[in-house]
Amino acid sequence: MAILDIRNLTIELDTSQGRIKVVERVNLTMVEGEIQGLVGESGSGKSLVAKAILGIKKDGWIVQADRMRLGDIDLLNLTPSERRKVMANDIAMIFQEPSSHLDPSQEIAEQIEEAIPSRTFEGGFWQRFQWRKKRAVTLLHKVGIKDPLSVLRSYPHELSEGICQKIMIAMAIAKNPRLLIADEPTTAMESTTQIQILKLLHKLNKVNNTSILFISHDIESVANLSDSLTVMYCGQTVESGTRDQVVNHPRHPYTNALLQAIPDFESNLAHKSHLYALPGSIPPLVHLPIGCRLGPRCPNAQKACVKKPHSTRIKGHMFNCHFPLEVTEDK
Amino acid sequence: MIVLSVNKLSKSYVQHHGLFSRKHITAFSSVSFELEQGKTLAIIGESGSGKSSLAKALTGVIAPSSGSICIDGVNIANKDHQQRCRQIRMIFQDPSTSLNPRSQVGRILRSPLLLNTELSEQEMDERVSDALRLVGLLPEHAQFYPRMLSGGQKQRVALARALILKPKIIVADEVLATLDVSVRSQIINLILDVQRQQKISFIMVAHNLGIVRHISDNIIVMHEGQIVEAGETAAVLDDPQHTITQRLLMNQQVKFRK
Repeated sequence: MAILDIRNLTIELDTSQGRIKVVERVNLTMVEGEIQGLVGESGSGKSLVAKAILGIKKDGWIVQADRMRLGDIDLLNLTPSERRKVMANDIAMIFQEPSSHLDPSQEIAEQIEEAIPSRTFEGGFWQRFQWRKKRAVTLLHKVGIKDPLSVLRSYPHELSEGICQKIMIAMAIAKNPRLLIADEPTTAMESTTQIQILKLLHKLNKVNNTSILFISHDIESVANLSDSLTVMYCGQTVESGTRDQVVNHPRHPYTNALLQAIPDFESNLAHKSHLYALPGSIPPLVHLPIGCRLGPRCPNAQKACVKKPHSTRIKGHMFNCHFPLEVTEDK
Repeated sequence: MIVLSVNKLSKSYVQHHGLFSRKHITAFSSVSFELEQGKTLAIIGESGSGKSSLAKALTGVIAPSSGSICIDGVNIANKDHQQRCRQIRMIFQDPSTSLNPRSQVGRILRSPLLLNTELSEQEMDERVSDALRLVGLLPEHAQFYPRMLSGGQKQRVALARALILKPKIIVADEVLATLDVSVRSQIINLILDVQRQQKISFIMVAHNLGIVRHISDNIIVMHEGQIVEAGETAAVLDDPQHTITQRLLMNQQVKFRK
């Protein structure tokens, strides 16, 4: 069953240059218990999509969608208080740079205990004594912190980035969320810690059957972890499908460029030869091109690309391109 | 031809605790390596292994406690900064914070010329526009402020600032980590082109082993301030001998599903 179903999500911002469509008709479907990767470079609107799902809105944002459902709840027709309840109970989010999202003036113990909702208490009234503290220790244990008691007594600045991220994950899973949104949880971490966090997320997904929306700019790490992938560019969905479809048989030139740009160990690229790169740079929000937003950078662009392409769907593999790449044979 | 040879370079700090107690902390100790002209040396290692401190010591941001850094056989460890600046330059990790937001790109590029050379105004302008063209920007970009440029363009300006004194060696500390993937390959291509044209040697501190393997000729693996493995990149990464190298490689290629 689809846990998250979004159709034609459009987010507009009011700026001094007028109203800009930063996210244009994005579709996203997630099956219960899967890890979905959302890949895009900076300015692709992937964090905005996450915020729209969570319901964090700022003044001057206009969020519209044809359909936006979390399981059997319609997120569009909720009163603010009901919406808050859904946010509190069913969705959790972890952020980039975890040490800056923890309160620097409080000990970790207080912050975790605050994040544990009372509905998760199980047992008789005589077990109430210090149950939050015990649960905090179990949670830290679950996310793989070896010495929970000393971590609980520390302040965020005393801990490494990797440990802080594990604490954020512990706080997120304290309420047993149905959907966990991870917004670039491993950027600016070194590879050893990065792998630990990815392994932890993978374990959570397998053990608790938590659905994870994994947002990242690095297609390499996402492709490794996720079951299905959605690629975004400048606020438009470019391609989506299962991991195998997107990684091994990309049909959109942008996905292809992302994959080609990674020199990995298996590829037989000549040493110090040029890597495949799209020309130009990511357009700023105020100068978005019309039609297919990849147009000016695309190697296959033609006259038709000034119109927004219709999405083509083949066996669950969706791509938005006027001139899709040919299906390639298995590598 | 060997451009840079580093011999038993080490750096240690003294940290004071209270009035009387003090602690000696070693950032790196007896590091020795050589770098040939037009080659790239990669330094990899976990965080806290001293690779960034080593990069800083090479460029003179921090003074080493002992050892020698020789460029073309001349020890520059204690030489004046002007000499050193002209031969070895550094690019920093985050392009958005390494450029002064209040000065135009032209002024940013001119400041190393003003400080280290005695060129006339006109020659400086020529050098600035040459450097901008070399990194794939236009001479008109000299009028721009850093905030008007995108991340990739800022990194190009940072590279131009390093190139403008025509150095022999450029030290790049994690320059590719903060860039977007499609821009990253442009910068890699640019670095490779510049190296080919001008025969500049690069020292790259990096953590993406796929990229390291692609662009570097030699590699140094560091752990707790010591070089644990060194050699040709392909040889080291294909057949790692030390456990640290093996662990770094293992972390790079984790497969969650088969």
